[in-house]
Amino acid sequence: MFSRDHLLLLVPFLAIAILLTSSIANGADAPFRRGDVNDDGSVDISDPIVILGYLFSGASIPTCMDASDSNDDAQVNVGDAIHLLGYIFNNGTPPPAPGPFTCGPDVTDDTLGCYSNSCDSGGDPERIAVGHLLQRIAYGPLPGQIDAVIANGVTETIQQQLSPPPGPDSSPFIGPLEDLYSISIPWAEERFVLHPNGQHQYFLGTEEPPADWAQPGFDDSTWLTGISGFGRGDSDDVTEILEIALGLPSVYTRTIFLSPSSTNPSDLYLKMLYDDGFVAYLNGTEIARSLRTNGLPHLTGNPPPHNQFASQAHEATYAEYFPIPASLLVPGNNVLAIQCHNAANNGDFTLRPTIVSMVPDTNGETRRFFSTSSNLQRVPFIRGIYGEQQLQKVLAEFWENHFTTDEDKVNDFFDGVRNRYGHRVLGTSTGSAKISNTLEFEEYDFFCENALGHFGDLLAYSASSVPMLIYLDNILNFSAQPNENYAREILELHTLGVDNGYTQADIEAVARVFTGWTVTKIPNNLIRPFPEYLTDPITTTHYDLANTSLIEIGDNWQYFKGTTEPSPGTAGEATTQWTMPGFDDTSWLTGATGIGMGDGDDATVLDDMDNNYASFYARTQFPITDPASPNYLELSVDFDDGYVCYLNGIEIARSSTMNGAGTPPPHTSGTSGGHEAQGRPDLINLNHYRHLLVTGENVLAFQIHNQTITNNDCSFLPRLTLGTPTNRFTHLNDRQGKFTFRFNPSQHDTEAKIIFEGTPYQLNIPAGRTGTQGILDARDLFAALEAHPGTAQFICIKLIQKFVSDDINLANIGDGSAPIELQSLLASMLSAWYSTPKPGNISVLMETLLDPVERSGPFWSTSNQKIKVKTPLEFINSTLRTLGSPASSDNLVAWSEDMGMKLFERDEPDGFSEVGSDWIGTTTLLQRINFARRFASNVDNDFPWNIADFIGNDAPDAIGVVDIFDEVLFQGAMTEAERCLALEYLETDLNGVFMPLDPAAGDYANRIREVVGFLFSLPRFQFQ
Amino acid sequence: MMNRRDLLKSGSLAALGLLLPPIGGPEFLRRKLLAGSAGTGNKKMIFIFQRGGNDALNTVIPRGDLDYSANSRPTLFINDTQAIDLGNGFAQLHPAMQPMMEVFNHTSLNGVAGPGNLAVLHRVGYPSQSRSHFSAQHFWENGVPGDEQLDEGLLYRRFASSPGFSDMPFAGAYLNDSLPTALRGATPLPAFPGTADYSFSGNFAEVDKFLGLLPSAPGGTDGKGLYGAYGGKPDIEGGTYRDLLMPTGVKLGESVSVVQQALAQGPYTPENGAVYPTTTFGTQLSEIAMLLKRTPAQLLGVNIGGWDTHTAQGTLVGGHPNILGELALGIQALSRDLQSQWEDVVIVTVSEFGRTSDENGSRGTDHGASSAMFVAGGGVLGGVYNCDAATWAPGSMYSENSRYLAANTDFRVVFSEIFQQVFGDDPSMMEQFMPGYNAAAAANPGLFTPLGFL
Repeated sequence: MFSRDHLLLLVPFLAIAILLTSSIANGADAPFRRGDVNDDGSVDISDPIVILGYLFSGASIPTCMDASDSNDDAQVNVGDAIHLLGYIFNNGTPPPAPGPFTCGPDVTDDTLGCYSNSCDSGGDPERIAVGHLLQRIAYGPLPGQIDAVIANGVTETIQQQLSPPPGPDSSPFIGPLEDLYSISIPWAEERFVLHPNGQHQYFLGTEEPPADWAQPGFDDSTWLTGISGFGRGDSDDVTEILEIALGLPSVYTRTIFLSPSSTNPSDLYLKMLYDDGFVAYLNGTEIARSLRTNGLPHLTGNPPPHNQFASQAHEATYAEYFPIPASLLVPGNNVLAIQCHNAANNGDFTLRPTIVSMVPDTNGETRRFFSTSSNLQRVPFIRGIYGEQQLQKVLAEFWENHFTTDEDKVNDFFDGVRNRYGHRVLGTSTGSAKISNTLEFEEYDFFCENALGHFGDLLAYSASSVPMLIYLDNILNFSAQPNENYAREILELHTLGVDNGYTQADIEAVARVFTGWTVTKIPNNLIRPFPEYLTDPITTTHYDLANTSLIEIGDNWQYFKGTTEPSPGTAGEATTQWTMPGFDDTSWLTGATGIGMGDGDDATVLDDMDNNYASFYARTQFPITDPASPNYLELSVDFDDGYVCYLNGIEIARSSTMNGAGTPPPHTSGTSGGHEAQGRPDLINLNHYRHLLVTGENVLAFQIHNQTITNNDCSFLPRLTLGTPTNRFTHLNDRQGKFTFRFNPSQHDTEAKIIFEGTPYQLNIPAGRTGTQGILDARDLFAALEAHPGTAQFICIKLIQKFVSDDINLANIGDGSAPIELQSLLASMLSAWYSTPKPGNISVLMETLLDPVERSGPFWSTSNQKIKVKTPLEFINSTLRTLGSPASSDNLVAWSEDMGMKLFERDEPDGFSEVGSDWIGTTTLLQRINFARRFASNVDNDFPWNIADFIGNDAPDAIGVVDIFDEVLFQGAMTEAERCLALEYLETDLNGVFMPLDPAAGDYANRIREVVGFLFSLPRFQFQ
Repeated sequence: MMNRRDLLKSGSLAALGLLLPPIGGPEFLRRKLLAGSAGTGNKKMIFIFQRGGNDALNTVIPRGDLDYSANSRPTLFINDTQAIDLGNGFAQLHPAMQPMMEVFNHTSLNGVAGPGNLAVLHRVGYPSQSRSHFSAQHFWENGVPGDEQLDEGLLYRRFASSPGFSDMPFAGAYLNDSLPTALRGATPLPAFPGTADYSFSGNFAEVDKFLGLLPSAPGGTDGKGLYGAYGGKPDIEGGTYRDLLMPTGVKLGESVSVVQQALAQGPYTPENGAVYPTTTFGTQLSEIAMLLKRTPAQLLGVNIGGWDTHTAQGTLVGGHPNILGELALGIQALSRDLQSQWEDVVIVTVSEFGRTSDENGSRGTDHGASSAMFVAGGGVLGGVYNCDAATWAPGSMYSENSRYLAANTDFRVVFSEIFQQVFGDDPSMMEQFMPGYNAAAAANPGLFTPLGFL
């Protein structure tokens, strides 16, 4: 019998029994315990109170109506409360199956539902655990992979992932995909025969040039004279052709080069940077014609008329090589003539011709180049989706992020690189992009290969990587003016963590350790692997010649004071007779250079020049044994205020202050501006003028001009050197060789340094490490950092944060508020850090974290599953892997960027966050949802996942479809509430009307795709 | 083949050019959309963060301090004929910021002359300034210098104190792909880099089905679609981050609807001759103005980057002058465009720190201490603060660590003045908005003296 109290409760609230059904009659049917209305695991007085409160006091509807239907009469009303009270207090009949003690489904068919309760665990625990494993150490499971791992053994699988074999990943898909987005360039040795930035005669194609314009005998003296590279747009042209912007279709050039004596003629190539199409002629015969992507030529006709536009645009990203037929070369002077045409309505134009001798490397080595950032950015997706060594790929991205560099800044650096003559070396800006993206790729590849290796190796590699040296300004770190940018970040971000054991004084000392760290370019034969190029660094620059001085300061020159013309013409005008080899200069004065007046710095002083004459003339001779020798002839002239220079009677160079002064300038000419002789001479590359040289004596002639006749100083300091390239020599602007780390001892601070002073980890770096010994400062620092407990702590915290839980960081470890299990995991990992002779072995650390044998650590705890938010890379890769779809879409990179992760180009050095709250936001969620729905729907046929792989031939009904994808995506872990949402979505049309899923209907597959897109959009799928 | 963006645009409601039918969703959502702002009398803030640490000394030049010279700044020095005079015989402005002078000397549209509406606040910071970007930004945004952990925003706390804030579908937003700490809190605010792509893929009927219906009560099981998933029961009861992710999903649906409705009103034409910079930042400012006019949003913000000028900073031309010009043009454009609600608007710019007083060896400057803020709006008392002969003592440029310009005013009192004078908040609320405020003010009363710029 009821107690009186309960009767009193009932009486005021007695009302007509209300028949209630669930609002959505979709058969939500989680297992439950009948009578356990409040889902607390037992049936007691609290359960009927919930029913009564819901019925009469406006409390919320129980989420499991089946459990509330205590008497199993398909209704939830006061009868159930009475039945329950009778069972609890009066030995009444127990609630029918599944009963009050065991979880089970509702065996009675009714419209009552059950959305979720503690019986609704869903899914096989072992499969869920393996799914969790694969979402953390891999980018999610592939179809069938859970079964495969269980069959292989979980412990064995983890151990295999902890020890990847050296070399590239065994996946057959990665190589071909990377090939698709890169180009492999074979190693070769290249030397210029026709040098860049040389003088050409050129003609604007506003009309047809004479028919013999390409012939050796053609007189091109009426053509314009300009220095290559010719062009417009791209901001990289030496001679800008403004008429291109007005629709000029073509430009013609001619130049002379000397046939090389020692090179095998069959090794010669025309090396062309061009935009958009050209035809080239050697001594009047066509030798090369550029081709479009379909193999047809850009230009048609013999020759193509001046007004024809190139039929396809072509960017000067890579120079192209065209073999030169040996039979067309003649000994001595050869004429290279080129007509280069723009594409229609195209704003940029490039014409930079050179001739090189190229001897391929006998070992057949190649280097893989990535020419754009969007191609490079595909690589982590390719490797992450297809890689067999998944943990290695997950960690590769972790290290790439930890030691992040910004490809944009590296690109900008190379964009600005100029050769010693002041010309940009890397063609158009896309030339610099191929250097920066390739270097970033090589850095990422190293992190991939060594992801499970030693932390200290990763640190040293990063510190000496060209992208890092540029990105954090170490190349601007000099002993006289240290730059602290890298020093701060190596401590704050890469090793110890913010304020975790270092001071401002340490930052300053560390900056001094890295002074003199810079970059250089080396030829292929000097390329060495890490760590050799760091422990035994290159210290020289690329322009490494064994020099012979042909003309030195202090040598005697014949000189003539410019009171009159030295060789006047019939009307008294200025001529160049005085520059000719045959000119008789015996009546000239003789004096040692430097020649000039004022400044008190001249060996030969013209003490009558001031206010008397504005110029003087000088001549000398130098011997050449072989004009065609491949050595480097360089003229250096320091001067005040202007000069024009002649070689065997032909003008080859003039200072910019003499532009517009006349050809030749008269003896009375001043200059357009001043130029002090301050030790930064003009350098003139004479290699372009070898065709003017003769065997025997050659005449060098100068006219030197003062700014005005009253200007009080004047100087002339010329030198001529002949340089033989050493083994170390390489050009900046050929595609061979590699930019790499250089240690510059002259910029290294050799004073003593004390780091971590006053702590148990104090590092004393001695003074006096001159020369290459200075590199030992960094060796000592790396050793100290990898052994420092602050580093161990920070790196292990980051690894736990990456793989286990966000709820660990320096602050909550420092104040002891981090979860105890994570604190103790950290302690174990710290032991593991020091357990190897070289501390910080990542594989050993990860083994401690993953606990592969016992599988009992925090990594495996169910409370640490599905608690980390996927980053965009993880979301995209896991989506594709889940459905086993090929990554054939071009757009993964763009999607990732829209989700907030632009790989390799993050501005800030801290890397992308691993913490979930940084990846929860409206836009990042919107982009994930848009991506996932589009992927699932395959609306553009670029994500061809195969429904049949999952539903087989059985054509399941709606519940069957939800079951299948619940297993594929979540290993069956969805709650009944989620399943009902999916079911409702699947079986509703666009008007909100119920529409059953008919396997025979034509829209069956599309509706399945649509609901899969919905499943990807659920909160549950955002977590790993 | 259409690319992804085309696909989205063709499905977007704006492109359909239709007046939207009522947005799918429960009646209470529709009511929320129509409701105006709650409880602040329609006062609004535009928050602009100059990321990287702006060189305040070349922005607001302390001409009256002889330490600002070609000795301290051999290549970065700007002489007094090159800079814009700010009228107090001491401070000048970088010439690239000329467009902004219109607001400094602005007279209101009704023709009544008076002080301008642009306050230039120099030497704003806090004790023991961090020189790390991440920490310094974090402290400016969470309002509690020293607290690395607190991931809740100073501005969030202020705006969340308005009644009904958590129910508003579009109380505020940040024009960026992620929400900065300043706007983070329990109720998520939308963040998106631009309005055009802020939409779900699919046509109206598909999106409506996908969005579905919110449950009749939070956490209920009678919802449908996306709203049903994100407004209903969490997948893991009490699971980590669900309390942030779930409301974000709901807010996503609601805010997309609001933004698309705003866009559907037609192309946006700035008023009163306002011309925004043609950069991403400028476009985002014009979208902020549009959202202020067409939605109930009260707090809108955006970043402008490029201020971390370690190398080749640029003196009269170059990187730094370019972005100063961009910022100034943006403030000018906003002041013109928002004239009709200028009395209700306050624009605030901040940067995480200033830079070294001496230039470095790379023609740039390194991380420093105090920085400059600009505050503009109808209620602002224009003028220069903290950069005058009375308050700027000789040696100020080396007053912190012998390298940096120390703060004269804590940024928290600047915000407290804005909150109290513009938004009418009670002084007692400052401690709630900026935990530790009272203790900090007691420890450094000089730093917490109000500047009186409102």
